[in-house]
Amino acid sequence: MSSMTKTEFMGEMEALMEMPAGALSAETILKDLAQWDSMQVLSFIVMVEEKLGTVLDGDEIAKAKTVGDLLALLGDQLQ
Amino acid sequence: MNSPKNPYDLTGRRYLVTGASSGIGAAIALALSRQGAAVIGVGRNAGRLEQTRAGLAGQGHSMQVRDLSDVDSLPAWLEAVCAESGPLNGLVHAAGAQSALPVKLLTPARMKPLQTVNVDAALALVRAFIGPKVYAGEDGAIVLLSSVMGQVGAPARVGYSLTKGALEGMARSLALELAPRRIRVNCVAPAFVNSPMLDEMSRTWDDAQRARVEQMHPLGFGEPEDVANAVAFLLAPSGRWITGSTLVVDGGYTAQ
Repeated sequence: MSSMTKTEFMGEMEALMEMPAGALSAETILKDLAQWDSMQVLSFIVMVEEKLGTVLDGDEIAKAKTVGDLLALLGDQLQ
Repeated sequence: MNSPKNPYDLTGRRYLVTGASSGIGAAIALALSRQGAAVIGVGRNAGRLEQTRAGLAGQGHSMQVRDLSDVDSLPAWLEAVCAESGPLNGLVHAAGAQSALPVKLLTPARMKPLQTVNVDAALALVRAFIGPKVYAGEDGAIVLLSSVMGQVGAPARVGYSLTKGALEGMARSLALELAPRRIRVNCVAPAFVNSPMLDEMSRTWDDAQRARVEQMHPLGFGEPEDVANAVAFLLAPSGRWITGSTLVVDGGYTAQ
């Protein structure tokens, strides 16, 4: 099983959304991010699959309210 | 004009069907066998191909485990297959790779597997099919599985649309080039049918998205046999004056 640190993972998310490093925190609310649309969700799923080998479920992502909720979906794969 | 009694009859003909281990390809193999054809099913998974074979009607079928992404090897392989089974009357390319990727992520490395299976393998198989060791010389017909994404678009479907549009373009020019040999070439363009491909796509959808996609099909999601019957129609004498066209089988998806 592949793994990354939470900080590395957040860096990947920032790159995906073309945001400066450090712009995201676990408390960031997803619906407040203009970039977090359906295309971004798909990109996020692809990034997670390629980096961690896990395919996230669309319904689980839809339930996530914060960046921290997304991190929680990956459990032990993020240290 | 000598018209057959049953214009859908495929008795005495042999067809190669790629993607035969599941979904639309498996349904095509079944539909052709029920109309009397011998089928050579091609897929990557021996176990699932065997399940397809077990469901086929009639005799003379064979299953070939083959990864179509080894494109350069396909012509020699198809000649060897036909040396054993006898020549083909037609070819159905139902194997296809799916993709839902925002264009930002559509790098050459991610595009390549799609292009290889959906387009390059189709072209290699057609090239192999028209040779004297493969084509039976009469009643020739090729059907390439396109998609409504070859006709219309949707976000994140750039790569998939590109390959399916390519097949439709290929079919039109092939139809003209191969008409003198009495080989017809057509596409069938389905929307979403209940199949492993839909399961794979819908993993990334939430409930609201799934409902939205289903609502885009006025007749609901289709079944693999809805597409398979259209393919059989094009291969059979019923399709003998149809070439270079795309038959849209989409539950009304593109009527909107």
